[in-house]
Amino acid sequence: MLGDHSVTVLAASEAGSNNFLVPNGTFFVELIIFLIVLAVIRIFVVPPVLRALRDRDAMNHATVEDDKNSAGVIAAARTDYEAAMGTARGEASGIRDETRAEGRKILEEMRARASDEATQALQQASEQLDQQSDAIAGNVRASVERMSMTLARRVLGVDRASVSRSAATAGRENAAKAATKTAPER
Amino acid sequence: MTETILAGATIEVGHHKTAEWFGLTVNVDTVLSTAIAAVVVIALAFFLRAKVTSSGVPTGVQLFWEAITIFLRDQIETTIGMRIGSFVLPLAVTLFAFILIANWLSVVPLQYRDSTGTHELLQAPASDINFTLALAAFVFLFYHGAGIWRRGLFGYLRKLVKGHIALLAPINLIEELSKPISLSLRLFGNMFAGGILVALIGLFPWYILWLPNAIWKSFDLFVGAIQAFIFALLTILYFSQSMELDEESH
Repeated sequence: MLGDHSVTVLAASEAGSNNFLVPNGTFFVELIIFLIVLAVIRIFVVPPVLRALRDRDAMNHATVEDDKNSAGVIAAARTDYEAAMGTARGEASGIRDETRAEGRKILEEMRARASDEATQALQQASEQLDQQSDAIAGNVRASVERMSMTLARRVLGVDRASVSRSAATAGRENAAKAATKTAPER
Repeated sequence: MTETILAGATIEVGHHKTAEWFGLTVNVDTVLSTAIAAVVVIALAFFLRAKVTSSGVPTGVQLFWEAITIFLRDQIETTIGMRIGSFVLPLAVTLFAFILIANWLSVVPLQYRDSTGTHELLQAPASDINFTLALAAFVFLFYHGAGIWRRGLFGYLRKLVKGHIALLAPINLIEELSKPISLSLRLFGNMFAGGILVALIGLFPWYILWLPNAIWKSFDLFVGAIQAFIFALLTILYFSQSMELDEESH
């Protein structure tokens, strides 16, 4: 079936007209159409496209330039920032040192004042104690004679007049004894 | 028992509907498809003109034109130099776009049958020698004109014949004569063969027809683009050959 397929290729020349490889009047019509298209593209396509491409290039260049500029600005700002940070850091440490010194001074002052006050208070207290002990010792000394006489009379059962004479000497000895006893306590 | 089925079919090759215009025989079908291609290209051109933008988002049409323009501009820049060869750019862009659209017309699947056989409703204009020859002749005259403009009439003719070595003068002449012929016949042959192949595929029964047709038409798109590309590229090369100077003055 396939083998029986017969295809007749009928070229134009065999069909009676001219050889199709020889151009005819169509040539001029085609040329005119082509020239019209060429004119349209020359006027309406290529110039605007080239302009658009040029504008886009210019925009790209401008953007790159902007990038470069802003990079410079950023670098300068960073330098400024670091310089400012350096001085600020120096200032801060200076202030800290100053404050620390001041604090130490105040602390020492306060400590000195506190120790002064403490010694003063101690002195006052010891003076008071001295006075009180003196007063108490005086009281005690004044009452010792009478109390020892009363005690002796009760122990011995004698009257008052005879005892008081001998007791006067004894009372003095006792008072001296008491005085030597209290002295180390001070 | 042998059964003989004679399936005869006729393919007409290179046959055109003709008319007489101003005393000239004109292939009406070629003119029609060329005009359609021209209208499409011009419509794309005016669409670009209306919507062209350099700062906004470009349309697809603008990208189409831009891609062609950038590519051909770079070609001209490397072979001739845009400073002296910028006038070639519109020609190259036109050739590429026009031939591309004209070739792709034949992919539109419109066929009709009549008593004489199967015909494509829209034939590729390049399957008519008149179309390709018109383009090639225009390019031929234009690049010779550009060569004369660049080197003067006699300087150009001397260079054209002599080339670099006087001994090769005959070869140079033959090469020069073959340029328009090869330029036109290459495009013609490719698109003409494409048309014949479609006609042959059209002889298949309908249940087979679609597969080879789909494959071939896809490939024909590729062939059409490649041929348009080659035509534009060779045009630029011919211009660069005709306009080159022996002593480069930088």
